[in-house]
Amino acid sequence: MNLKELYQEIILEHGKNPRNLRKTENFNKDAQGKNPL
Amino acid sequence: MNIDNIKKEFPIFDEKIQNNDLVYLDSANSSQKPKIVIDKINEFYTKQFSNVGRSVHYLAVAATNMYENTRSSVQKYINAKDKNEIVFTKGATEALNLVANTLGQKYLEEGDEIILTELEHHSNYVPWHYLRKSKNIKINFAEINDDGEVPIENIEKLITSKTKIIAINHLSNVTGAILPIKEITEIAHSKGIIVVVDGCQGAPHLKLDMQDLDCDFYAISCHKMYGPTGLGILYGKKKWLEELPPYQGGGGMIKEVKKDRITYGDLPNKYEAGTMATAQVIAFDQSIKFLENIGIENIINHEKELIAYGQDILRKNNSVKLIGNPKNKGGVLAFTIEGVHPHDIATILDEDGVAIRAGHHCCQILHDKLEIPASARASIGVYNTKDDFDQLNESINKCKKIFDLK
Repeated sequence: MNLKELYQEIILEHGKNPRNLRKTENFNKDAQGKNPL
Repeated sequence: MNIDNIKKEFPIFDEKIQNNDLVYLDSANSSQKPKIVIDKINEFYTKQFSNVGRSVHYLAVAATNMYENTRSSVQKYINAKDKNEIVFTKGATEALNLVANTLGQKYLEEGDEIILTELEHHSNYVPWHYLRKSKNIKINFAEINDDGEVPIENIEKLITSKTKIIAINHLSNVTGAILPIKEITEIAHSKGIIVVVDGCQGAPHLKLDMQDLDCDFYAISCHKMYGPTGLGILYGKKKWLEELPPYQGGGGMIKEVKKDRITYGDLPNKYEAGTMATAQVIAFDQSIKFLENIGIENIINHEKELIAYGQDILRKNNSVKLIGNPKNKGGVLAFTIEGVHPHDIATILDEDGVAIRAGHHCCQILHDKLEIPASARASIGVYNTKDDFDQLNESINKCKKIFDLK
C-alpha cells in the first residue's frame, strides 16, 4: 500500500468517522503528547 | 552572476530526490550550498589542512591567514567598524547564549527587565529565560498585531526604568515581518538600553550594515547564508566585547595561565575557546563571495518578486490561510489548510519533491498566540523560481483532493 492509499483508505475513513470519540471517565493511565518540531 | 540561472551553482539541484526534481522551500531552516563552498571544504581538508592560531609551520600559518581573512570579509560584508567585533561561534544559538550569559554575569541585576517579542525564535528566548532563575530578571513580550508585525509602540510601552535589554529578531521566521531595527535601537539607546538582534533570517536576505543599524549585538547563522553548518557569527560592539567576561574557557582564549591566576586573551580570541570550526570558517569566505557576486540589491529584488508571486498564488487558493500579512515582508510564507494538519501537508508535498517545514518552527509563543498547534512553512532562497511556487500550489491542490477539500 503506498502512502496515498494509506491516507485515503485508513486515516481518512477514521478521521471522517471517528470511533469511540468521547472523554473517558475511568482510566488507569494517562499521557500527554508534545510536538517538538 | 545571473540570478535567473543561479540554481546551477548548487549541485543538489542536479539530484533526483525520490525520483523528483527538488523544489526546495525550506531555506529559513537551512539553505543549500553553492559548489564553491563545498569545493573549498574539500580543498582545505585535501590540500591545506592545519589547525589555526597555534603552530608556526607553513600549513598552520596559511590556514590562520585564511581563517582571519574570513573575519575581514565578514567585517566588510556587515560593515562593522572593527575586525575584532566579529566572533565565530558554533551557531547563532551559541552567539545568543554567549550574549545572554555574559550580560547576565556582569551587567544585569536582580529585578532588571528584558523585552522580547512574541515573534522570537526559541534561541532568542530560552537563553534569556535562564536569567529568570539565576538573576531574578523579568521578561516582557511585545505583542504582535493582526498582520503578524510588532509595531514599535508595542515595544515602547513596555519600557520601564528597569529595562536593560531589548532582544529582537530582524526578520520573523514565521510571519516574515521585518522589524525596524534602526528605529528601535534609536529609542532604546536614548534610554540606555542594549539592543540584541537575532539576525538568523535577516542576514541571508537583507542588506547588513552594523554601523547604520547601530545595534549592540547581532547574531548570524552561517548555514542559512549559503555557508557550512556548525558555524555562527556574533557581531558585538567592541566596547561590550572588551567589557564583558569570557563565555567559555579553554585553549586559545588565554593570555597567561598560572596556578593562582589566569588572564584572558585580547579580542577576538577571548571568545573563541578551543579548536574552532576551522574548515567551516574558511569555506564561509566563499559564501560571502557568492553573495557579493550576485549583489544584495539583486537578491532583495528577486526575493521580493518571488514572495509576492507566492503570496498571490496561495491567497487565490481556497482553504489556504496565510499567517501574517506584514507590510515589510521577507521570504517566508507560513500557512495552514483548514482540516489538514501541517505535518500531513508536509508529508504529502514531500511525495512530489516539495520540501517545506511543518511544526511550530521553534516559535511556540507565537503559535500559542495564533491559537494553532503548528503551521506549514514555505521559505525561499536565491535559487527559487516562480516554477517552485507553481509546483507548491499544484501539490497543495493534490493534498486538498486527498482530504476532500474544495
